[in-house]
Amino acid sequence: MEQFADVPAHNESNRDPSDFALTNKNLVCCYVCRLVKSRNQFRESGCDNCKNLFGPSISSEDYTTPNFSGMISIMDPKASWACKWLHLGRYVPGCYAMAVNDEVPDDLQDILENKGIKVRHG
Amino acid sequence: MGKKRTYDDDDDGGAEVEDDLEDDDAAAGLEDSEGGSDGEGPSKRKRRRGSSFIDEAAEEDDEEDDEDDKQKRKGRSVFIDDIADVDDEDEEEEVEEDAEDLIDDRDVEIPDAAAAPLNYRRITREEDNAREEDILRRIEERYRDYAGEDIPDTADTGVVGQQGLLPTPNDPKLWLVTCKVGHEREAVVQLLQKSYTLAERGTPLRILSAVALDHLPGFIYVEAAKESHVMDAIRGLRTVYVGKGAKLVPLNEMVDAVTVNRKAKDDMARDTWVRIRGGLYKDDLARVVDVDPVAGRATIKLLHRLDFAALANRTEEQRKKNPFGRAPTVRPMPKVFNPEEARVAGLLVQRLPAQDGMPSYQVLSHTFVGGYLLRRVGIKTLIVLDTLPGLEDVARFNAGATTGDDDAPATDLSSLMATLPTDGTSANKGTFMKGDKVRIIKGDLENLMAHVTGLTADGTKVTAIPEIKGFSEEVEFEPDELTKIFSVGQRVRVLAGQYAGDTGMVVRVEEALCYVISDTSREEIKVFARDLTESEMVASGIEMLGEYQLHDLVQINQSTAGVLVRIEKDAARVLTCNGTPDQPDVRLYRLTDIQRKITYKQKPVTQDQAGNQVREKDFVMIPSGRMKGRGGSVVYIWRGTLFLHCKDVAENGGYVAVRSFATRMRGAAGGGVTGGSLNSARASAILGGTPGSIRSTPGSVGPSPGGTTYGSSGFSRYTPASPRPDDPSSSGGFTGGGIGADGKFQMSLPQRGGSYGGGRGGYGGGQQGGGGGSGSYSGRSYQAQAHSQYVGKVVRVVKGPYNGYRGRVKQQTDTHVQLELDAVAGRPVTVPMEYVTLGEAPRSGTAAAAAASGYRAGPGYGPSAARGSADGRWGSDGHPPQTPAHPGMQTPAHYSMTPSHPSMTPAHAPYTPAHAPYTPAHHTSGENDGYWGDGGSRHQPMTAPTPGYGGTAPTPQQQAMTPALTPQGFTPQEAMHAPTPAGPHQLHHGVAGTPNLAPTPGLARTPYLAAPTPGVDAAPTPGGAPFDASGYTPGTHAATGTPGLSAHTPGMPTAYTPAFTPSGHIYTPGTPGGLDVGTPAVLGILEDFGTWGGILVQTPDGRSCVVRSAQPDGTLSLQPGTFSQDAGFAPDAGAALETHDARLLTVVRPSKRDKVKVIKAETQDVLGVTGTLIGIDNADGIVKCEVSNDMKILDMTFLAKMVA
Repeated sequence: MEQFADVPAHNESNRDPSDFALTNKNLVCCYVCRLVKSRNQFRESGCDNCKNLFGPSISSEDYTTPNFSGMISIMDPKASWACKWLHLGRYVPGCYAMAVNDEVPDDLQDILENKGIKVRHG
Repeated sequence: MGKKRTYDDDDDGGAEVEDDLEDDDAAAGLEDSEGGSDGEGPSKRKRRRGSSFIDEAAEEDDEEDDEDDKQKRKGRSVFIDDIADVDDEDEEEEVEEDAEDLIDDRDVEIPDAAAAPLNYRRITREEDNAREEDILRRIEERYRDYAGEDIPDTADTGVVGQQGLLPTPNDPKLWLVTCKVGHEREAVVQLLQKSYTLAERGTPLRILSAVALDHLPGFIYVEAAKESHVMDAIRGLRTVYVGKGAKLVPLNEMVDAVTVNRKAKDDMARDTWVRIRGGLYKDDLARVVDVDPVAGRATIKLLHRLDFAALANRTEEQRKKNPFGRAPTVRPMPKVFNPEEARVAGLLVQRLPAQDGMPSYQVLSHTFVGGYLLRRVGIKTLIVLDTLPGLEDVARFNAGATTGDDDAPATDLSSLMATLPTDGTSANKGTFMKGDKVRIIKGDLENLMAHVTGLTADGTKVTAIPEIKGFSEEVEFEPDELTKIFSVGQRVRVLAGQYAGDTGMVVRVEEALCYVISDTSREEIKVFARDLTESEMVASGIEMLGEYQLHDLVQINQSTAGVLVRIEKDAARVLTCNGTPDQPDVRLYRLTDIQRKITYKQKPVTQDQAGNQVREKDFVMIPSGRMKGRGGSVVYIWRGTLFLHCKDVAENGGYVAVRSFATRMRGAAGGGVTGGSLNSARASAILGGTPGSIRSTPGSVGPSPGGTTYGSSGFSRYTPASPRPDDPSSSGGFTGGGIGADGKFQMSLPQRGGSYGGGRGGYGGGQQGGGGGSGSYSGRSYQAQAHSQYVGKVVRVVKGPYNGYRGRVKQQTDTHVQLELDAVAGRPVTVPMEYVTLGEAPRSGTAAAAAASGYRAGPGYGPSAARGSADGRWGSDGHPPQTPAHPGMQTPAHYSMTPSHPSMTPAHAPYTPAHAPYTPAHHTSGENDGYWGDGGSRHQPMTAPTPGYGGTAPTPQQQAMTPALTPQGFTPQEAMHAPTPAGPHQLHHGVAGTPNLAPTPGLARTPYLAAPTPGVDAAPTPGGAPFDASGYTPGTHAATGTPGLSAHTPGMPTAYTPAFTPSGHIYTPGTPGGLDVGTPAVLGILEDFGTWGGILVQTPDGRSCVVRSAQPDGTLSLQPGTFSQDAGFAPDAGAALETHDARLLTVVRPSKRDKVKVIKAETQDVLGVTGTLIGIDNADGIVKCEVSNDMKILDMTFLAKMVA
């Protein structure tokens, strides 16, 4: 596990970091790889899997959505059968959404199409 | 950052936090000096000491040297492994750097950590220099080159690919772990945190993943190879119930466990059609205007159901007290918002800026836009429709769209169409079928007709041959380029929508809309042409919804029941009891909204306007309203609501729901007599009927005292019987037709016609008079009483352990009553019926007294008394019999006893009469169900047309009766014999009395068939014919006896007198009459020795035998053997069959799980049935019948153990 995504946390220093209710409200997931982190975390560090897909001009708000369902924490993507089944095996450890309920926004869709990436939604 | 601090399990959290802090600090100390402007810095910087990011940096160096890159490329993951190939120019290094971030380091050697900072510095510098667009451009260039290669694992692997991923036994297992509800996500996040933390410490958790599913509250899945790994992982987590352990998910369920049902997820979006789950707008159609998934709320628009007048009238105080108002008792109809309405009601209507070009208003707290109410509601309160709403619904909904400022017609087809998806995704695809006639609506061939020849291979296009002379080539069309054409008269089938599956004929075509007369409902339905196809088939329609069938009576909720009048896809339209014929209340219910199908063990009875009893299959008229003058036959009765089927009504399948009080029985005499009060009418009826006979006394008595006297009530039932004989003739002779006092007769009357109908009225009257003029007595009380005569009464226990206690009867079975003792609070006790006496019951004409007396005197009385007092409560909506399962069995038994004694005394009746009851009992058959159905399951047996009696029943009975009467010294035999085919009424008359007696000849308990009674066998005379068997029988038995007796009474004054007295015991003396009346109830038990075959019996000398063959007369041939519970029955080798008389044998009672046979029963249909005794409840056995699989509750004494 040389690389892994942050544990979702709301990253608001003035709040109890273990306040999950607050965290939960701020959780968003990446359209492309379904990584789940808080908005702050995405803002600060981008998506651990896809950040190089998105240049600096694309804000994290553009490729994340709060509209996802289910969550899977992946500790060992390579050994896990669930990851294999969900096609998450090649991503870094972290929290992922089981399914994304939103349609990919047009802008993002264009970018992804340019790169020949199809997004699957769980 | 700080991630590691965030989630720690409780146990070792503290220590770890420290560790983490150290880590981070150290890392920061090491790297912060490199400059904070580095975009990627933060994420990489804070890795563990000497670990990943350093590796990466080092790796980069390697790559720049282009060493080793092939190998690395393979190892690299995700997006970018071919960077090195393209990556020749230095200026693109930062891109590569980005890419490196994603590299997985499977085969990376640990490089020199010191290289990292340098590397970063360089990149940072470059980035600073480059302009953003530049960077972006380069990035895009870069990626364009190898687009599609090794992209994230998002490509469709297809079904096959996915199949290959199915779990194998070698894969790690999933374990189900219980966690706090609502904390599933938190739990998996904590697990991730814990795993990170412990990995850092060098003791990694060996779980591989943890899954929280939104639709599975209270559980998470943890993936691990071993259970112990899971337990290690969850130990100490505060969100997880560690103590509950981990449950292995079977291999074949693993996929389901980690699959999110796409359907289940919220696919609510703008313009989605939804229904509202509950509240004022329950089941209303609404459309989503906006969704806020984060807040979990949606804005919807719908037709409002506000009552502006009520809103305006609320005082300030009320408003404060209850800001949201109380739910209106009557649900207002959905309406299109009209600002004028609100203004008229005195509400302030504020005009808001228009939204979407629609005028919008604010009234109080409600916002309206273009006729719709806008509401912001929780997403969870909405049900997303997975199919399009039906046309009707949409049309109603769309009414709101038109009340903008423009004066568009209320239901504009085009706007309607516009609201429906036209993309053809689900609606259109595949609905074109070979042979469909279509018109081309787009493209070069526009307006040409064509014939569909099929679909293209991929199913996305339709092939059709345009109708051009000399042209016969198939042309491909997009589905939306075609529209189906139907012509009037064409037979079609509906493919989709709420009428899917229906067939019919097109009667009118309007653009895309077709009006079709449905084959199933015979109603005109509107269907989109796109949903139709030509079909010669005639569908029987959908007639089942789950377990319910079209036209079933179903329960919706506690206070609502209705008839399924149309079944649609997944839902049914129900004509509920809440409507009137003028305003039928038809609602759409989904399967889950329907609680159950209503079935009655005993047929309900209610009353019409004039107090006539109304039963199922009766024909009633609706005297007022829109349906005035029309009528229909009663199909169902539910709590005073009649569901009629009217042949001349088209809507709702001909069903009409109407309160029984708003109907009039066709042919009933009520109208004529009813001038005054119902009671008086009845009284007069009774009087009319009674002349000349003693029974008249009771009748007259009843009414005159105002019906208060108990005696009268007791009699009321009697009365019926007696008058009956008269009533045939009575049509003329008796006043008011009230004559029909005999309840039984009345039943049959309807079929016969007017004059009898009168009788019915009389009957009702008699009863009511007796009852003290209670408002609504319904026939149903009959049964109810039989079983509930004690219920609610205060009784005293006179024997047994509770001797001396007083208590109120909670429930009653045939043999036992359940008491709530005054002295023992809260715990009901069950006491045999014999142990209790109606102690403190007041005497004066109250129900209790009546009941008491009734009880003692015989079943007949009991019920009547109770009924009298019932005040209608027991009537139509009254208490259903408490113990429906035992139709009066036991009670009768008691009763039977009573009569027998009295009979002796007053009438000097032969001994036989007492037994007589039994005979009929045997003969009872299901036939009379119709007749007695509701009233007297108990009576049924008696009256039931025994096979012997057959249709001609009356006659035999007569004959039978004669003998019976004779002994008693009744002279008026002519009357009895009167029954000639020619004079049906007379026949009745005479007969009436007879039936009761008839049993007598039958002699004792012998099965009817065997019974030598001449009367019975001789029975089949055409004379009986006039009455239909069922009708007749019932009448005969209960009422009959009485009349005969009473008639004679004059001759035997002493005997009778007591009978009429109000005292509880009255009856006893009357027994002879009472016998008849009571007996029926008593006799309720059928026994047939012929059914004894196969059961286990004990001979008087204690040997076990199996009945090998049985004759109805009780001659059994037995095979001796030994029986043990374990081994079952083993016949004695070599023992010959023995012949015994059944009466001398003891039937071996079954125990639980034994195979049993029903050797006695109260209804013929149960007799002889075999089954399994699946439970014993006190004196009752619960039997699962073999053939029908029904569950029956039968008295244990009815059951015999069977031997296989």
